[in-house]
Amino acid sequence: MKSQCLFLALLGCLAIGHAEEEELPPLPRWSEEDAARLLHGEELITDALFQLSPEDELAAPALGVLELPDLGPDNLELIDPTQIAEEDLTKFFGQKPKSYLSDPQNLLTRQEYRDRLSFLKYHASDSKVGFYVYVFDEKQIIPPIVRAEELFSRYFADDGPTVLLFYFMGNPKRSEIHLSADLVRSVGKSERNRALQSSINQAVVKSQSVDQLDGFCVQMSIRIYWMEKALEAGLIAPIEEDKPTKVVNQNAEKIAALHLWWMSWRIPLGVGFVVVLVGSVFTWWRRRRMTYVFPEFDVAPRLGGQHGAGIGAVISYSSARIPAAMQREQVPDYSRR
Amino acid sequence: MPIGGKTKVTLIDLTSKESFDLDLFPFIFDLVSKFEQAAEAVMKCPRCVQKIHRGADTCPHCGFSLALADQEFVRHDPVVKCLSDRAGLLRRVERDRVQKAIDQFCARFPQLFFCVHTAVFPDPIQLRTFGFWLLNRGVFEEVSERANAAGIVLVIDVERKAAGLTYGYHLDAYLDESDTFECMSRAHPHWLEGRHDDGIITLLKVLEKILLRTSRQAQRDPEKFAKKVIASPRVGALPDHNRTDSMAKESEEVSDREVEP
Repeated sequence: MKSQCLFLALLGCLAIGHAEEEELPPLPRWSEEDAARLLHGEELITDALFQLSPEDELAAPALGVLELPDLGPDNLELIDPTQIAEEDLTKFFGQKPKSYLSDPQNLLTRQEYRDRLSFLKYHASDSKVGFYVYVFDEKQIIPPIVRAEELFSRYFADDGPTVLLFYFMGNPKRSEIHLSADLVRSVGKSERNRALQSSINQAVVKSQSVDQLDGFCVQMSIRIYWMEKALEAGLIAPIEEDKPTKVVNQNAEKIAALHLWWMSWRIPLGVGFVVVLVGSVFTWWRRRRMTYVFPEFDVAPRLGGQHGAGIGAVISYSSARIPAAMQREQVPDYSRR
Repeated sequence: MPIGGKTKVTLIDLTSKESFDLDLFPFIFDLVSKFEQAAEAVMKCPRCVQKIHRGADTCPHCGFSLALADQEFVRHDPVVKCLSDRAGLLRRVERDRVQKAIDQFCARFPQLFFCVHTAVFPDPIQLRTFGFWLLNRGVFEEVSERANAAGIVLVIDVERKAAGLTYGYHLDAYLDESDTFECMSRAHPHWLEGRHDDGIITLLKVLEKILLRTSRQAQRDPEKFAKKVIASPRVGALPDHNRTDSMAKESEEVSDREVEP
């Protein structure tokens, strides 16, 4: 049996060697002349080494015949970076998140996801306040129909105090936090803003977006700890109005005050204006009609003239080349010539 | 304080053998002011434009006087209007504008009047002498109640394109050659462009401003202007107040002696 196998293997090797021999070009052959040259110490490089195979010698195809690669599909659908796909929206907000970290768009790698989730789980084990993180892309915009109050009432009603974080990868400044109603009672708006701002500050110092998320979550976890303390202490935060409303109110107050001032002073101001106007017109009219007199002095007659003597200025306007300034000093006519 | 601490010196008149004290400070101050007045008391002859003393009856340089001017302009009619455009320089509309400006000027200054006279003179010297002659011999119809001494005459030589301003004695204290030059220089650009009416109106406005200013100043301090036209002192005359002061003191001393027992 062994001998039969060896025989068959030998036959197989020979068959393969024969087939390769047929495919390869023939080896160059030695001539007597080459052998003589080699014995004399000359280098032996023959043209046979560089001889092209008959296939290579075939002419290159003409340019016109070249086939360009396919351009691909005609309609390339570009996804708007601000939009979130419908299916992802459903995964985000159509159900209660399955874990503390929601990333249906797979913006994090599996390992990154696991690391962040483990931290959030650690937080959950140590705190009564649930901390859920929704991860969105940098420019994505959450549709306005998504309301945090609705999410709380629908999915987190039985979970006790909860914090939802909408985090935008690479842009922590856009992050939003939403607190459940019981937390909102104890944590005022200013405190919430401070928590958000301090978390943003911790995030922006990191260069990598994943590290930013880490920094943000760690800092927010710390702030949630203090929120929890406030909740346990039963603190009730003062009601704070939104700033824009306040500004609007201030403007309205200013307008109202101005209106009140105008109503109380419009008559005196109007009277004053009319008085000033009439006074100005009267002064102008009086000055127009005002006459001016000069004290008269006795002057001795000169050059025989009973009414006047001497002369004032004399000016020539025959040529623009002689400006008036040059004619200030009157000189006798003979000296002018 | 003078050198040596003395402020007074005693002067003795050898002929009458009278002595009187002279205070040096007022004396020197008075002397300086008299010299200043003497410097101001210089005018120019309308004919030769040489400086002559204000008290001169005839020009010592050319012998010009009003009598000579009478001979020169014997053919001219002395009866004129405030705007007498003999040379036909202005159009009717322009004449109306100028006449209105003259009327306003005369209304604002009830003592004064302004006259514009255009003519063609064969001799350039006559532009100056004619203003002098017209002011002294002219009869201005619209303002006959006003003295010629309060008149201001603008004479325009149409042929030679020159203008001269002459004013009477009443304005001697309030106007001088530089004021009249300022008025004329403002009118100069208009006249260069042939807009004679605009030039005259501009001249009148500038003149009005100058006179308004001086009128107010004269009302506040008339003595300042009176000094400009008082007669110049005789050479060698002593300040009057020094003499009167010393004489008053002498009389006081005499009266004191009489009172003493």
